[in-house]
Amino acid sequence: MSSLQRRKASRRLQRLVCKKNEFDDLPYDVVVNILSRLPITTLIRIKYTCKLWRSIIIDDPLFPELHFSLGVKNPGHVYGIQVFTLGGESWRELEHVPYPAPARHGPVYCNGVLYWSAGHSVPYFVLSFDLDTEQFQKRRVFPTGNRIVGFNYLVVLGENVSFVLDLPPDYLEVWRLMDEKKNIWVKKYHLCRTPKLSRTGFKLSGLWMNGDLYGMRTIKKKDGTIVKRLYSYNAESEKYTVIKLPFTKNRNAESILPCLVLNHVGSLISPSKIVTAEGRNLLCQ
Amino acid sequence: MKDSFNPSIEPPKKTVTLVSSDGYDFEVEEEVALESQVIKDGFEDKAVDDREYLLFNVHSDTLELIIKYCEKHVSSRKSISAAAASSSSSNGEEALKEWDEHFISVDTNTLYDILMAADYLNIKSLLDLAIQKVADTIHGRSPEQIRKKFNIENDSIIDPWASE
Repeated sequence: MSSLQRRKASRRLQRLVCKKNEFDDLPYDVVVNILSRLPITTLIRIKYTCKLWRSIIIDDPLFPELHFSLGVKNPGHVYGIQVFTLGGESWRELEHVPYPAPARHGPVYCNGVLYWSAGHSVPYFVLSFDLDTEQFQKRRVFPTGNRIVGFNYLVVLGENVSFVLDLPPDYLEVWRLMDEKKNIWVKKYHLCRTPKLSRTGFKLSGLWMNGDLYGMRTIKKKDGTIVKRLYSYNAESEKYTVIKLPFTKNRNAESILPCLVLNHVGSLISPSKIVTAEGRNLLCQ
Repeated sequence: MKDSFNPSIEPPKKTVTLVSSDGYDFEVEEEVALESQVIKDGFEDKAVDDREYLLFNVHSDTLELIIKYCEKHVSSRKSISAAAASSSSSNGEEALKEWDEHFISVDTNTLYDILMAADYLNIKSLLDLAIQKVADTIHGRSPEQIRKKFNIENDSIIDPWASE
């Protein structure tokens, strides 16, 4: 054995002795990547393995879409969609489903059409399903294909569906679908991230009546607890404001985490009217 | 195979020095080092005689493996494209896949080291390979088995299914 080999062997031994295994210390992105390659059934089984995994699988708002987009990349998936017409008798299987069905958090509904992101590997495409004509469509949001791959999702802002391209740590782009028939998307907002919002975990949710945007930020603290904050964004001043929610603690003084923020508009239409109305209203599974 | 080139005809290969965290020098061919995106970024701006990289996070044992992987991939790519150019049939890609499979079949500690190094050096194909290996290992195991295998501390809040 040469002296070099000997030195290396002894080093290896030293390392084995003092080494504590560090799979908990892997970078967050790597762990997310590992978990996103596992099928749903496995994820459900292993979600309580440790706090970190649990927080990724259950709480990370971007995980479902990342998981879904990898599923799109892996061939061998069979896409099937069933629809149920209110007032109809049963679920109907749709024929010719050309694109993968929306992820659990994927589809958003806007003016009779469901939209979902085509995945992170092709961040410039949106898929849609027209509930009236039952037609699928692949829509290109912006022309170039040579863009940095970022997270993306869809959100309804006011009257239109919008495509959010999230390029951490720098900025978010919001593309608004101005003409559904002609498929015209216009870049509406460019949100620079402040240092506080520089990490992933900030997700736009909607538009206030006054035209400001709002979104939620999920913060994972070092001790594993999750904190969610609601932010408002004014495009003119480019300023973010934290919105204090009055109900952050429940009776037992435990923190309440908001999980969904919606614009609510009251309606006098009763569900029974919807069933008998002429327009077809579909539920998608 | 054209692997056995005549050294008197080929120009001398440019090399780069990689220094492991424990202080060993590894001299590798430029194109091998360029498999790492981190090295590739800004490589041209560096003076030719300054092409030495201190890899503070990569131990020599791991670096040896990483270099082996990159060398294999550089040479395979060449032979695959050569086979394609001469339109002769080749099972190069399949052979490389098999080689990868064998390469990544290592113990958990080594797998962890490769994973960290591939992430640090940003070698996408290797990171992919290692991540897939971990995912495959997790698949089909119970949380308890996974914790044992990867030595993960059980810090989870009560598992509602544990008592079942």
